[in-house]
Amino acid sequence: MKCFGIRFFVWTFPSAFIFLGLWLGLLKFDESRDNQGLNRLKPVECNSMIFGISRSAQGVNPAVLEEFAPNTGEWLNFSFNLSVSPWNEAYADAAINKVNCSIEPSDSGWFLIFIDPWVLDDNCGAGSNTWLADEWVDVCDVNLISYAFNVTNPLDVLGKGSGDDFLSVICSSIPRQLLSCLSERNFNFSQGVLSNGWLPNPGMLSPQEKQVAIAEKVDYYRKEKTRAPFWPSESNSSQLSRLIKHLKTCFPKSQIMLLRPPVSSEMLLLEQEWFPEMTNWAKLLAREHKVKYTDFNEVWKAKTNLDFNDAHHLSIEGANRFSLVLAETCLVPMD
Amino acid sequence: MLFNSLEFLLFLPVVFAAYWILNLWTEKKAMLRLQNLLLLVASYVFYGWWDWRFLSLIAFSTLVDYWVGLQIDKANNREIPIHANESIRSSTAKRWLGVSLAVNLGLLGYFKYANFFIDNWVEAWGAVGVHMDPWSLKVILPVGISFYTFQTLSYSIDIYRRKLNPTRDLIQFAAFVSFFPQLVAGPIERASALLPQIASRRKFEYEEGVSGLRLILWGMFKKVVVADTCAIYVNDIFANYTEYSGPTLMMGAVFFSFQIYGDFSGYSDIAIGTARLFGIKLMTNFKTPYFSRDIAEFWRRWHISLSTWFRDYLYIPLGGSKVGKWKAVRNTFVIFLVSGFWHGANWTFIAWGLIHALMFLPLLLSGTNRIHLDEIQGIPTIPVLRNTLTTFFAVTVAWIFFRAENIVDAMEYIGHFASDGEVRFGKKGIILPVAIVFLEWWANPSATGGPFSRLQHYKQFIVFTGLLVLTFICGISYSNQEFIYFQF
Repeated sequence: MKCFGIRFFVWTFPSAFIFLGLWLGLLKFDESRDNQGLNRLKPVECNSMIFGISRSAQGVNPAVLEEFAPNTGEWLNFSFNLSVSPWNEAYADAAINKVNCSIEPSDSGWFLIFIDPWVLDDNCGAGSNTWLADEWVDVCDVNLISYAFNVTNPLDVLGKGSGDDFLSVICSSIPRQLLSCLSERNFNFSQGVLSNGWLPNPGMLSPQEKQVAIAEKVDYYRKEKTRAPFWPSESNSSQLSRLIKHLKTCFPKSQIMLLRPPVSSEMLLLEQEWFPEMTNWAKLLAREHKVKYTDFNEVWKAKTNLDFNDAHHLSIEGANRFSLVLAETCLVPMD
Repeated sequence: MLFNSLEFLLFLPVVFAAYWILNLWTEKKAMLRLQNLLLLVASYVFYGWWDWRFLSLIAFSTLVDYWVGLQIDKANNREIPIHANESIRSSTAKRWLGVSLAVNLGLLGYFKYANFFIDNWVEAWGAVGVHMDPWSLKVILPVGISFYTFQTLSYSIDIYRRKLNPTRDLIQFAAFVSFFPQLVAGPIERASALLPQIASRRKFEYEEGVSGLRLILWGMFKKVVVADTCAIYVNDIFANYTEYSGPTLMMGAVFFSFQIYGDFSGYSDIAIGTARLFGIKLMTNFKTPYFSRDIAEFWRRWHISLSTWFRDYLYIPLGGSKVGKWKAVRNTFVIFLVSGFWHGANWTFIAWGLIHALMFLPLLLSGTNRIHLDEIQGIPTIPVLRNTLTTFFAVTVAWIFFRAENIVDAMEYIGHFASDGEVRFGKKGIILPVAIVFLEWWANPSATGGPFSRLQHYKQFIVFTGLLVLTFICGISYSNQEFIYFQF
């Protein structure tokens, strides 16, 4: 029995170590493996922050903002996606905790808060699936192991966020990664969240494919999403207000902006049809809190559908272009 | 509780340790009872993890067959007047056997087939213009009911046939019925094989323990890596078969062949391996069935515990193949149709059984159903390879009926084979079956020491480390997919 026990441990422990080493090691040391947001939960010192959902997570590259306006300091994009970070209580709590532990109250940073009609709708933005409310979550210094086991899975880490099954990871994702390393070619399949919180959207679609992806996504939204009877959701909008108030109170030198992210023309039509009161409501909210509101569907005149990989997610090129427009429009000192 | 779950990963070592600690004192009879009681409690916890309410069903079935077994034995052994007819004795035993059959098949019929019969009854009347209000019983199918029902039935029948003496120890019998490694998906173990092992003192044997672990790992790999990966493609293709090209649909059917094999044989391997850790040997349930050269050989290698059960308790009592040609044909159809129906209350399973009966028939009529009793040695010859591939594709087409929602879907799925279009999953579709067949051949899982036991030690270490890493990766990523055969 003793020999059996020893043999069991000798034969299983190396596998367990290799497995955990692969999973946790890649997650820790290769930032492009993190497609959920570990990098956003690590301890960080910064001066400015971006809040929102996947539109801003993929659409705003903090590096562009830093380069354009070095005086704004270090940026962190603290946006997730609709299931994690609509304006629910968990996300508002997480955002408040994150700014408190990452930014000095005396800093004169910027807070860019992205809103769109969906995040203020009860049916889409209730945040019931958010893991940000889980007990293990510490937005200021997350535990790598609990993050790995709760939010990611090994195949996704190995496959660089491709969401593929085992066979596809073995047959296509890993060979492509190896080939990429050997030939120094950039296959553009990385979907990881970078250390500044940006989640590049690497899809390499032709113009025709982009148009199809846009049409499919809008079609999906029309068929699968519904608008709640009351818009905006009282709870979602009150959480948004709570965050703004907190930022204004605790970071008096900072500048706060409410922004509506750009979307493809087809998605914009749908949003205007379903949520015609969005613009007025956003302007009222901005006035109430004495912050500026900008709708980038109106400001970014050079925007085309080619900047998007689907109806509302900007491609890497689109994100870089938009980030520059954002910087030029917003990052000037306000009175 | 699923074998591929975290709960089982904790449950197994705890029960294993407690079991062998108790074994230190099992020289005393009372301690052996205690050890069996532990097995019983562990088995009920294992089953109750899924739904504790159905434990009462197992307990009821156990009590009925325990009591019936004693009564049959009493009837078999009672003294009768010297000149009295022997049938006096057997008619009483027969009545008790009838009780066992009625209770066990009644439970199975109610929980598994009641809705099927009601729906078909209503539909049949509807076809002749009599419309009845369709109503169905809201019955949950208890996991593994087909397996433990057959196991308890075999106990009563074997006592009736005087092939087995009943046990007078209720705990022992209850542990036999509910032995957790094989409770929910087999192998369907015979009382004559399993009860004596539970009744006697077990001894931990190092080699048995190691081969048990090898089987558990190999089973986990087949389930978690092979079957669950195939399931992703199969679910997609079968759900949207009208949108895919013929070659893709064929690929989907091949993937399902490997999914169901990986899933079910994986479960059996884990069950057999787990039982070995407890010093108990279970029968082999699969012997590389996709290497079969004809359908008859396939059925000697696939789900052996079920096919031998039907052979011993249905086919042979009906006369088997030694009752003239037409009766042999009838018996063949009976056994395959019943086997199909055993799998589920759906016409698709009956169609699946019928297809196998039709494929078996030419072999029976030509007297060639037992020509492949030997193992394939070394590298197969071209004719062997041709026969193996033909059998595999015949089995694969039959699986389409097994997997489809209904017979119309299955027919349409096959009808779409002729449609043109691009082949999806190109390279992967080829790599997967080739890799599995190679691994199965290389592993030689039916070897005495378990899979890969013939490799040198360092090679074994490398192989098992690789398998374990892949199993961890897929196991956590796919998170606890249920076994297909749980529904039966």
